[in-house]
Amino acid sequence: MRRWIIPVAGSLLILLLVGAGAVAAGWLPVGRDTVHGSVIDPPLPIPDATLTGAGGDARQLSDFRGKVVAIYFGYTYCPDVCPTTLAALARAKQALGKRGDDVQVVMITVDPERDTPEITQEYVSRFDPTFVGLGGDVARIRQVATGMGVYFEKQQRGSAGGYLVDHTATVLVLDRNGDLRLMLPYGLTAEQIADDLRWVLKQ
Amino acid sequence: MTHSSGERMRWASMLGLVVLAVLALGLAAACGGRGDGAPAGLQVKGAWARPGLATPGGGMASHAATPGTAMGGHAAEGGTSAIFLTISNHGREADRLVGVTTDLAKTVEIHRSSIDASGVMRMEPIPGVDIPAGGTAELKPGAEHIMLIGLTRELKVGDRFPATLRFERAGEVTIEVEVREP
Ligand SMILES: [Cu+2]
Repeated sequence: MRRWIIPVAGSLLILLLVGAGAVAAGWLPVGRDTVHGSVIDPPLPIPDATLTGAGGDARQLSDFRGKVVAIYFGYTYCPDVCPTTLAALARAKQALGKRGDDVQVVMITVDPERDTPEITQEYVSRFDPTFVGLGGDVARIRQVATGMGVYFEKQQRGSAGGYLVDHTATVLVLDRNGDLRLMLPYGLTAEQIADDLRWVLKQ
Repeated sequence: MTHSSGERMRWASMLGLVVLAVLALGLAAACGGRGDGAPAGLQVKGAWARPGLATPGGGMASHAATPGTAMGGHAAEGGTSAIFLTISNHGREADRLVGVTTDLAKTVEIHRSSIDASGVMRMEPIPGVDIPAGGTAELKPGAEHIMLIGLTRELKVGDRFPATLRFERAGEVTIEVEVREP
């Protein structure tokens, strides 16, 4: 029998118990800094591009610098994944309270044929009046999307409603410098998104 | 056995009564629950739909004309929504949801959304949803849904509307759908 086993195992056990106790007592910040999405490290600069806001005014992503920007590529025709994500973003922003003022949610349409900037803006306003909807020329939208690794493509699948659009459903989070810092996969809860936005706000 | 034929008759009629009572109870159980009326052991629960506007994306009357002209009459005029629900099959035979009708939308289709490993969402029409014997089919966000295309009127939170589900075996089942946020 090796003599070191018992003291080493014993002290490990004690450390474990103390650690568990500390976590239970809330001394150790376990969970507080948990990030649910994928962190981009180092933050990735993204190419700027001019899109169109409601009313036809030119909007650039760099306009939002100083805020944490959560960008979602979607389309208003989508009744399922897009509204789920936008509703979660709205609840997450609400959960942040005052700090939520430093978060800007932007939806860029991947269906500019049907979604004018006005339609896109009205759609996102239904989730939160501070959300911004952007549209514009499809080539410009594709440029912004590709710059962030976002894919979208029109598909004819025999729906009587017309074409559908396949698109990346991930939310891209830019830090206050406008660099890509975090990617939130589809399906995170509002609480998880709030955790992640809190983390980016602290960076 | 020494039962007389009269006794046998009595037994048979009692048995018959018991069977009838059980059937009646079963029917009452199947039809009694709120929002479900499925025969043949099908139970539809928790039907809800997202709010939606009668114009795509927006709602202001001033924009109502824009989409139709911009689309060149291409796609559905009117916004979209989706119905989600859970169907349990307590029967011994598989069934299949093959169609849905409601006068709230110009077109109703059964769709499936899915997200692939690279995070890309795709949505496609599917011919139906199987409900295995003794199993459950859950139509939920990010998966199967009943897509309402071209809403004929606005769907507001708290609204209720009827929809008729068509099953391969069980036939038509009318349910009540509640409009709410997820
Ligand atoms: Cu659909």
